[in-house]
Amino acid sequence: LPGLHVFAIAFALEVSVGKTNTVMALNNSNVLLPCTFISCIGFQDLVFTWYFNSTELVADPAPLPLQIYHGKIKNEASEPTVVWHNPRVEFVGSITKKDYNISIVLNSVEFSDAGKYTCHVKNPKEKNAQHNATIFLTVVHKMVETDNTVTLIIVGVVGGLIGLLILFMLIKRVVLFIIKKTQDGKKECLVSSSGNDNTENGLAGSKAEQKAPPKA
Amino acid sequence: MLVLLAGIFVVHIATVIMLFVSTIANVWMVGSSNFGTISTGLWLLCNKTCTQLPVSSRDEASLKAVQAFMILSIIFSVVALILFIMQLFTLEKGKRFYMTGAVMLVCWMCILIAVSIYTARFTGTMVYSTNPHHGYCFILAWICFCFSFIIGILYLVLRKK
Repeated sequence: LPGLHVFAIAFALEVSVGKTNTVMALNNSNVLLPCTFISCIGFQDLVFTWYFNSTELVADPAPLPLQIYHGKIKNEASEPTVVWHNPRVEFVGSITKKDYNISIVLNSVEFSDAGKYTCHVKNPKEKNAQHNATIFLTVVHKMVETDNTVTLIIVGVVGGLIGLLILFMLIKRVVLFIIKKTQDGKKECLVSSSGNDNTENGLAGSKAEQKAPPKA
Repeated sequence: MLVLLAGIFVVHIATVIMLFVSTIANVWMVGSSNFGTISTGLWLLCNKTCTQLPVSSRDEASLKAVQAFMILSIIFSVVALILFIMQLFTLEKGKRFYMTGAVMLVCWMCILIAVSIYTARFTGTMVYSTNPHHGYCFILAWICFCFSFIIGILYLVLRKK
């Protein structure tokens, strides 16, 4: 009903299921179906319902949504009370904080539980404004770990190349150092045997030493 | 000499862009089927919409190797570009662009490994289609192979003016 939808936005009753609307659960585990709603004006005798629409059964005409939890909340100060619920569904929400939480937990999920879960809220204080949000549940046999061989190959090759580069630089430095050391040894011998030319451009003291012998 | 250097720079940028296109677009093999033309690449199989590429278990390792080495070739070609610009300003006159040339040749090796594995393993038959032929990404990859080799050798030979 489009008219009612516009009405709902105008009065700002909004239901949300969080950042993602898909949930994956392991067979035979308990899964949390999150749902929160906000209301600017506040609420009185609010009614909320969870529906389940199976995607496993394909029939013509399409099967009607199944009600799995029906509850009501008197006002912001009171806790939600249950009107009717499916025995496998457990209510875990609370109204104490600013964000009103009406999440449920589905116990021991089976493969037939996969499908569309709708969280529907109706607020009589906002002239019976309604809003809903849906989550898609999939049930898997086992959780598969993400495969990261591509990342490993890339990191391995880049790391190996950087290592080789560092090794190459180190070896180059060491070899040059050794060559310089052996050549320095040879140079020292040359300097001491000739004795005059190389030190003229150096310290002033050497020049004085040079001058002294001729005077004597 | 400056003109040659500018020309090589342009070809290098073209190589980087072609490598990006070749790795990202999914048009390595193209074939026709009942649903129209189907193209497969390294990541997805595309008709009008794209789905996960179906790969047999013995080809899985080869596909991952091709993906890894194409990404490595992109990384090395971009690193070579940055190194070239750095060496342009820091190298002394008369010296050669050894580092840039070396990195470009490593990039060439990565492209060689990637396209060889792909050509050996994945160009025989194509799933779900008849009359498969090579798509433009495959051809771009081989062109990048030639260009990167030429550019690498030129970097090793040219001197800075």
